Amino acid sequence: MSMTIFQIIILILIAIVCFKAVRKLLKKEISFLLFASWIGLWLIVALIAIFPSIVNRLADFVGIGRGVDLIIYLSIISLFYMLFKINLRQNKIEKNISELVRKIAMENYHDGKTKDDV
Amino acid sequence: MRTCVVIPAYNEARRIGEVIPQVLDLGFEIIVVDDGSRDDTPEIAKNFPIIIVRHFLNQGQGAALKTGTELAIKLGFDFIVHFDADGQHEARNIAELVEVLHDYEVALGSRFLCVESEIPKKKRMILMLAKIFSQWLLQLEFSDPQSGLRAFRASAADRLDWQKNDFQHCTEILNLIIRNELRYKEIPVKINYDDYSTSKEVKPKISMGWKLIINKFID
Repeated sequence: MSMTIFQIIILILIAIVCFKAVRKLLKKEISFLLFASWIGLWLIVALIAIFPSIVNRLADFVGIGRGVDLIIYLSIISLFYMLFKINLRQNKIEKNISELVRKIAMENYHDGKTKDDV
Repeated sequence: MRTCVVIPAYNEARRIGEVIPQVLDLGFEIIVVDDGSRDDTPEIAKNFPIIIVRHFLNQGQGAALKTGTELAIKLGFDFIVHFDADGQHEARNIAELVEVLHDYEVALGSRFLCVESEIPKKKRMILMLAKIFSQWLLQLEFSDPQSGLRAFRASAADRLDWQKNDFQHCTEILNLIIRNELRYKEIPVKINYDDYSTSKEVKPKISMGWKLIINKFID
């Protein structure tokens, strides 16, 4: 089975990503669940890179013309979902920081009439 | 009845030393909320017999007002007034706002009801657009929705749990006043515009309008 240059580049990149994920797991920087999901995702991408006909058959099955279109649609939906989740998380973090800053401020006010720091 | 004037301040070293004595001279107590200033704002404020509370990180005017208001309620004040640190507001208006609180739960300052107000043309246009925006899209029937000079009875302020730290807190407070069915009155107040205060104002952006509309529908 001969591979195109594009397929080879994709597989090398996937190998690098997986290698980095293994290193992070060994250093205990990521949980096993995150590692498994990450590796799983890239294995699927590798499988598609080696056997592109899988996506074509899947696209045909769901009624989308080309396999590439299916990948683009799914990627856009996933990216929007991730953006939404990141936005929610960022808002939550900002709110928590704000509550923390305000709580600390309220507990340490300076009363200039008595010259006391409360 | 004890009145507390809450003054949020962020990098206001140039003005805070003039604003505080104007309010103190009228016999009101003050809470200055230093919102993480990087200049001498807190040091200057400490020269006066007032309460100073400090955000160690800049959080925005909405958050600073909330901290000051909550502290005023905690300390047992009866009336709470929001007052700007940049010299735009006139201290004599505080007594007029507080007077209203004997019959109403909230008093709102409005520059458009005041004949004395000399609003710069550009500013007037922006404020008018903001007013139309508030009335038509957000259904808030206030003559000056962006006014930062307001007063509450402590019991009313306690019911206004605004969450927005940025410019949106003005609209959010008005929304909460309506939602909580608080009795309010708008009174004319004079706003002073000079190069300093104008330079410190938040520049209007289209994204602000989007944010307000999105929040209106989400809420």
